Amino acid sequence: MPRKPARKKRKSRSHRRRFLFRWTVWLQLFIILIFCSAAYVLWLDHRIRLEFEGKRWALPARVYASPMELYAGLSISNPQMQHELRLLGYQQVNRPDSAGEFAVSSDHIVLVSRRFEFWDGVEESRHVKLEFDNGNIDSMVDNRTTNPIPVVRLDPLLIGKIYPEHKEDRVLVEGNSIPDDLINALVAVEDRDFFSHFGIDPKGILRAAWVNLLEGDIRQGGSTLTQQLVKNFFLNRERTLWRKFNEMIMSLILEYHYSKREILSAYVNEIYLGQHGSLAIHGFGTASEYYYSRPLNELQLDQVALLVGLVRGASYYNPRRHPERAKKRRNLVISLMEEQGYLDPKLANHARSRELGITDSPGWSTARYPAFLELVRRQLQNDYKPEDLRNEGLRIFTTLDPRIQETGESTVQRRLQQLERSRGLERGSLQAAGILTGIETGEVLALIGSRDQSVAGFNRALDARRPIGSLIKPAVYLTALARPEKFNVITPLADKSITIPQKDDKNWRPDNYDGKEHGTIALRTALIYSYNLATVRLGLELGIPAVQDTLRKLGIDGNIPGYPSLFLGSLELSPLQVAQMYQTLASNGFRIPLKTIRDVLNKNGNPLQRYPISIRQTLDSKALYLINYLLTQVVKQGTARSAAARLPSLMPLAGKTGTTNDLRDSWFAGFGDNILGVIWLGRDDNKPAGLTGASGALQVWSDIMREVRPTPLSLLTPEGVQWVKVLDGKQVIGQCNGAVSLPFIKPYFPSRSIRCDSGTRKPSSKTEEFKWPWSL
Amino acid sequence: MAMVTLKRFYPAFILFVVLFLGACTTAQKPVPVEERSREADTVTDTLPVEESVTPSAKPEPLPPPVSEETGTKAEDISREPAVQQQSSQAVVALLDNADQSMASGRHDRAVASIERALRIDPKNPILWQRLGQIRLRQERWDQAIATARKSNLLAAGNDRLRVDNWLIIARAMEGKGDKAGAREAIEQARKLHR
Repeated sequence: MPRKPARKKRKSRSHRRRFLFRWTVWLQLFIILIFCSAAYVLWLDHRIRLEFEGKRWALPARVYASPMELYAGLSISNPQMQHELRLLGYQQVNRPDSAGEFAVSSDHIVLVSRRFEFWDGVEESRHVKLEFDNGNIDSMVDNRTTNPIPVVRLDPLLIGKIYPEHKEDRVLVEGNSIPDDLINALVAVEDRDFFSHFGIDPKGILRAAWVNLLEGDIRQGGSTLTQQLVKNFFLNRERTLWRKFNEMIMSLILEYHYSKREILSAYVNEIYLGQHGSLAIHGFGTASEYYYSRPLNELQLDQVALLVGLVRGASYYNPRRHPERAKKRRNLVISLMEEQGYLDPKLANHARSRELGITDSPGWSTARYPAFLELVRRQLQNDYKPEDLRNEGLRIFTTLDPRIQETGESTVQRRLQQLERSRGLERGSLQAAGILTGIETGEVLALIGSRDQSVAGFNRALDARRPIGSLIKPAVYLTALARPEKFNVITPLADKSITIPQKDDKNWRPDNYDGKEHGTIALRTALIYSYNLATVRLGLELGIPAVQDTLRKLGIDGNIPGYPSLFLGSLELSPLQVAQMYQTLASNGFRIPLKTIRDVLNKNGNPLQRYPISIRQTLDSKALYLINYLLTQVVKQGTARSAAARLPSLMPLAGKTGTTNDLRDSWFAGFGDNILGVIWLGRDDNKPAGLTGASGALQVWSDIMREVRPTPLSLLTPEGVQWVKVLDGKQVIGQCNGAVSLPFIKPYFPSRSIRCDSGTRKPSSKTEEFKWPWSL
Repeated sequence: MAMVTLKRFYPAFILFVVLFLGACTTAQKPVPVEERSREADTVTDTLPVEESVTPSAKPEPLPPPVSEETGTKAEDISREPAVQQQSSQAVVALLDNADQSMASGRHDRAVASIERALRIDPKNPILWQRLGQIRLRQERWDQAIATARKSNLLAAGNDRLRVDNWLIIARAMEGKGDKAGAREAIEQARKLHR
């Protein structure tokens, strides 16, 4: 067997080779496995850190209304003030002692205002006592020291948010401002050993299993807060062993990289606590705002406990849908805190006895002011990229006055139903748009885009362009009065029929509303009673370009058609544009661009952009003074005199009615010293609405103004204007019956004069105070 | 032989299979279930922002700096009693705020305080004048002129206030380089001062 040793040798060699081969394969595999695992862990590390660092940056932009300024003299009644405070999420209590609480008695309100950081200074929390008298704040004092307080700026109402693409809402709570109650409750309920474990807690898992077995109920979970945080970072809801394994690895990684405080802070801001439509509610700050309309630091112990209870199942324990279930869960949280010594029994009992106190709807209720927010959005688009608006946590301070906005909305709804009923119009056929602005500031206080504000849709205040009818007349008469050497308020005008040849061989023959001619009348009479024939003749004398020029100076941008029908308001404008035009009138020739945004701040509260008051004088104040005086006469005795009868205590106010052919559009624009309002009524299909400016829009306007109470127009006579007594177009020397005082631009006074010897001269038949029985 | 070597890999292969299939094995889960839809079809209060964005409306560029003398001192102009209203306390307090901000050179804050006061008392010529003074310090000449003119319009009969307004206008004109305009404004102030 000579071959045997050789075979044996070969065999053993191959055996060794094979063994070596097997060994290296295993080694290689092992190395590959180690390498893969390491790579996998590194990848997880990268992912979780990216998530942890990155999540903190996607914050929705928050849009605020104008903050309410409280001061002695403010026109607001006790019930209105209560309404405002409730809107802001203030809680009525017996003895207010922490921020966001108030107490009411018949003649005063005591409140503790919230601290709020405005960019131009911090408004500290204050104990304020407001005394009311006759619909005004009569005095405002510090409730502790009884010292008078000159002015308090309340925290502004949150009216909207601009959400990130993935539709998450988040109100950041800084790590150092997490309430102790919240930390205690979380630790007591979710993770007892949070401050000592290293990310996973085997002891906790066993304990949870044991407790749950004993109780026959899910009282405790085995996941640590860290694990729950990791779970929340990833969208996938499925629960698998592999996921669980990944969660554990990532929890360990998180604990390795970050402190307990950082993890807790991320948890408090990340954990999922509810769903509002397609919007996910993340974090305790957001949840506090969502369920209680209050900031987290103002919540009571029982309220914090409820939110902590939601961690287990925000939908299952949804306090709005399942209040009983939510209450049971809340009380369990309180009991667990008590068992573990975070609460003494007395406090715990008190907390368990309290009502849930959840608000009916979120404070920044869904699309509360869609029309106004639409204008905000358009103005923001000029300056900001969409992704900045969605993710950067910008804070946008707007000019909206919620009180005026709500008054406007409810008034429009009520009055339109009433008009349809009383005039036998088809129900629901009328539509409305309106805008209210602060005159000297150019701030849009309220915007009404349709009859039903809850439906976001066609925004008529911005996008419905309709002929403005007689609203244009002040521009025609202003053009005339700006030439004081030729025109004054008593310049005779001919209100006689006129035929204007058109290019297409068709003649244009305008009419008065009453179908009559009024002969020779004073300029002021023609405006006060809105005579068409006199206006067309005056316009033709002035020339189309001159009137176009005035309109541009009043703030009308864009094309202004050059036909004679312009003088009667064939020009089509949106209510917003009309407001811009009347804004310039109301502020005596100073053009102020209308704005909805005051400041845009970044998430640290520093201003990115301010939109301060910016004015430019475009028209002569003297001629405007005459026009504004005449517009007060429109309200006092002219086409809008029903307003004077309804609002006697607010007079004088100035304004102008507008009506278009076949009663298709009903307009009114009017103002006091501080507030301008423009109202349009009509139909979306542009069919006749059956309303004149006076019978439609003016009624809505009067209703709104009765609530809003603008300051009466002060009509301070400017330099260069003088009041002169006139009679029959002549200056009166001495005393004459029937003489009226009228403003004139110096030195262009009436050239002729009249002297009444006995002072008993009868007024002329052509008196200026002639009244027409109809209104237009 | 190849088959044999492959077989050697089985343990490792099985390990991987187990590891990866583990991902598909669903585990028992506790009650309650979270419904967390991200694509529900309910309407929300988002402000949808469209894609097209055109940058515009940038703040006006600052005019070239001028010598120190052109700036008025707020302290130089004595305050007139505010309009006799109950709200005047609030207005005076805000005016004080504005003056403090101005004294510490924080002009934007001063403007913000004046704006708050103007919302309470929009026809108060003192507020418009103060706004003019701040704009003058900021060298925003056109705004200084416009606000001083506004103050003038509201201050009919108050010559002292109007003299100061004309001086603001004069300084702003000078700042703009409009010598004739400045002279004319000075002349107006002088006429009133007599």
